[in-house]
Amino acid sequence: MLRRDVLKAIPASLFLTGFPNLGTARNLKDGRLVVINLEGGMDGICAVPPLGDRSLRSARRDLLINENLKVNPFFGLHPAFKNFGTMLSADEATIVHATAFPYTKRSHFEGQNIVETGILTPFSSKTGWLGRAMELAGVGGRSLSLDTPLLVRGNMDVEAYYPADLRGSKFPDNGVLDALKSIYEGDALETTEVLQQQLNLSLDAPRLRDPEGLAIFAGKKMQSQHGPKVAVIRVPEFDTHANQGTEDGLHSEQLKVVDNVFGALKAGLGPMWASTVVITITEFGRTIAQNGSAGTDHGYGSACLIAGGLIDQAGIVSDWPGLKPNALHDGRDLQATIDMRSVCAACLEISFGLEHDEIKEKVFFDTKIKRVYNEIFS
Amino acid sequence: MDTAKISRRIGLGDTEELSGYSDTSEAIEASLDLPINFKGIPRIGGNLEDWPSDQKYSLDERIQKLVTRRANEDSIDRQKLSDAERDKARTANWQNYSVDEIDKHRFFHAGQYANNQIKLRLSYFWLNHFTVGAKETTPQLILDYWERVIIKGLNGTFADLLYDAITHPAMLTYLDNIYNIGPNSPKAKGCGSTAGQASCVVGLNDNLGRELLELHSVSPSFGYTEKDITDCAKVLAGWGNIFDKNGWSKKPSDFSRPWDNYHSEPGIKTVLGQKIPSGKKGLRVLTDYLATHEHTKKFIALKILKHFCGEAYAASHVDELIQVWNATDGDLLQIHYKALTMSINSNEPVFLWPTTWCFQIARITGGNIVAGFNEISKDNMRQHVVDAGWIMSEMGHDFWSRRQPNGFSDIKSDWISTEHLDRRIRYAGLLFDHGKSKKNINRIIDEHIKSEKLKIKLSSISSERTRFIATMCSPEMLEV
Repeated sequence: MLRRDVLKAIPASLFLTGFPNLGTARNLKDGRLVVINLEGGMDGICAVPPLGDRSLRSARRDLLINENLKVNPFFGLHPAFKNFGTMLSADEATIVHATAFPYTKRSHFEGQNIVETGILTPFSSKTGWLGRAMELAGVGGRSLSLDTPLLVRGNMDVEAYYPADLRGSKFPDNGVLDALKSIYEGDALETTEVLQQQLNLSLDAPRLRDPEGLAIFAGKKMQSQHGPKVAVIRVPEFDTHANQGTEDGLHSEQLKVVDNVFGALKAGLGPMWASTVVITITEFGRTIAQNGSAGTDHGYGSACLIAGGLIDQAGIVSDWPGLKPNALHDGRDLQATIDMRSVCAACLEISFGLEHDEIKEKVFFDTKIKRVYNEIFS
Repeated sequence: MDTAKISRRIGLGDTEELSGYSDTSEAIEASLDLPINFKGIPRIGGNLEDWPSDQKYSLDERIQKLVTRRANEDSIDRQKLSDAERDKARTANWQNYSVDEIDKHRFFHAGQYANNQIKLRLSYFWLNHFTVGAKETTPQLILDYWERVIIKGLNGTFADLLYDAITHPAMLTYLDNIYNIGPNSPKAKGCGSTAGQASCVVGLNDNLGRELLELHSVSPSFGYTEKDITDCAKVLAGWGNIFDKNGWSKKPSDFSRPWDNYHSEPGIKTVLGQKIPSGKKGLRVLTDYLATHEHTKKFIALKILKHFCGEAYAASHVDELIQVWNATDGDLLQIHYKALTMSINSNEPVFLWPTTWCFQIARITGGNIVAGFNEISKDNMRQHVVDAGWIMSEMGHDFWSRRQPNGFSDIKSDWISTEHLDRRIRYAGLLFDHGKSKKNINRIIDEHIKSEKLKIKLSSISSERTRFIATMCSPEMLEV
């Protein structure tokens, strides 16, 4: 295999976290939550095109897709979403459109930080909204990737899972790990302890690093009552400034990855799918108009895909702002009419059983966040 | 601070390079003025030699290989071949005309064997500040970018480095400026009413313009507007045209002179209130303005200090570094000297990037597991002869990887995870098992571990392999 193919084959990372901590767990729902972080700014207009909006065609002559899957008379769905489309048909998925974290400066790095921390001032928090929610729900514990995403950092151990493939190397043995434990303290000590537990439990884990393989692995681990309750899967390279493509091409390939992750999670979770919610997040959407290189630039509002057995009825939740120039944010981007923090809060509510007021005050530190639970889950 | 720790902090690993100087500051001063001599070994266990000239490539040679590789790919695709035959032909073509495997070994060998590790450590910082990751043709160009722009730039001004980094074809490709064509450019005008349609793709691509402001110079703290970004993109339009009228696949234009007036946007632009003239000279006016902006100085000073003096650097150091910048018109040699002398006089811990740690423990032990320059990509590679690119990739710190333009983090918590720890343990294990360390581990503990308590604990580990791994992965080796 060519090296470039190897690189292409590893565009994702997995983080499993939130093993039940029986000492401190509160008597809350036993749901499962998976967050798929689409890094680079996913084009929600391409993923879930508002076909009924007359302004779409003139803005995107070279990016229009002819064979969309039909969701309702107004919205379509990119043909890459075969698994997700089936979930929609089965009332196991829903879409929130024209949504974003309230951040409008269009920087990837500030935006990604906000998406992970849930705090609107970039780089002001060392913990993530998901990590704080897990702490609140008492699902402290550990996880199974190369680094630990800010999203799940909080006051708990976090275990990463992204199996090594270092030719000729050996698993760290207990002798080495015991020696390191005797010389480490703080985070390094906790990390070593978690690594030791992980190695003792996961020696039979598949040595897979492609997104689908990681998703199946995550799902299987999450099936167990004492398994992890939360997983984070990172899918990068949504920054489609050039040659974005239509049915095929760069963006389509990335959407297929996401769709396969949805499918693999469902397969891996098995019966636990009924108690699961899977949500996509991204730092921003893309410009409504295509740029000069058949791509799109950094924008604002995007779409959020949600799936899982905890959804009762499929649909599209949107207060559609329209694509006419005077309806656009700064005259160029899809306006966000639903705060993504509200969407995340609804997912925390249904999977962890936390109260909305508690989430807005102790997870997002903003009492103005509206509750959209009923719109998504009822 | 003890000598061993200082040597690791400024990138040396071992202390030998400090001998012959009256103090560390003198060694730093001398190193900053010296060129880097790239050395390597032909095979595992072989003697040190100069890096062979037939494994060094000029930019033109790199481009020519790209052109040939691309033409061959088209030819292979046109031939009637079975799937297996086509895969074999494509693999052979890729291997024959790609140089990044050799480049990664040159880079790794330099980290272990080159004479001037202080400058190399500085170069990693700037290679990260002006990140170029894998995208389209960039893997073939990154080493040229590192050597001709970053390393060469260490002895120039920040303004020169900024301009040279932005105009290198690797950067122009990585951040999509090769697709950035002025909407009123001669090309757009030639398209007439079809301008902007699929038949005549023209228009701005603001990716590089945005990152020039956000990541390379003033940073978001300036509070620039979308219009500033758009005008920045207009200034950049015309830079990076690698296509000719037949497209890339036939015969790309000369990468080394990537300016093309045909794609440029006419007229005066305004960026951050500064008037920028049209034409090729406009970009230099812009980068010179950005390079001397107060927000840029502060942003870069903060980054340098975080990297070399640790996350909790002394606040007073920012002003001191900016004072040097102002007094020398951004002379990087003087700025580096100041930063490194601040570093060696600071007690704040500095967490080492994974590959910096790999280089240092190889230098400290004298061991090596990376393929020699005569062993690269050979089918007969032994189990313990490891591909340098693969190591960097597995360590999560590969300058040739696909990654975001904000580069690798300088925050310790971003590098603490079970998987990162697993990699470090595995690498140290490989070095012990196959690296043929030239130094006894007890001597290394004695020379490099400062804490008496830690020394006692490490020395008490009965298994030599465990003692070796624990020492290499000890807090004093990971964080200096």
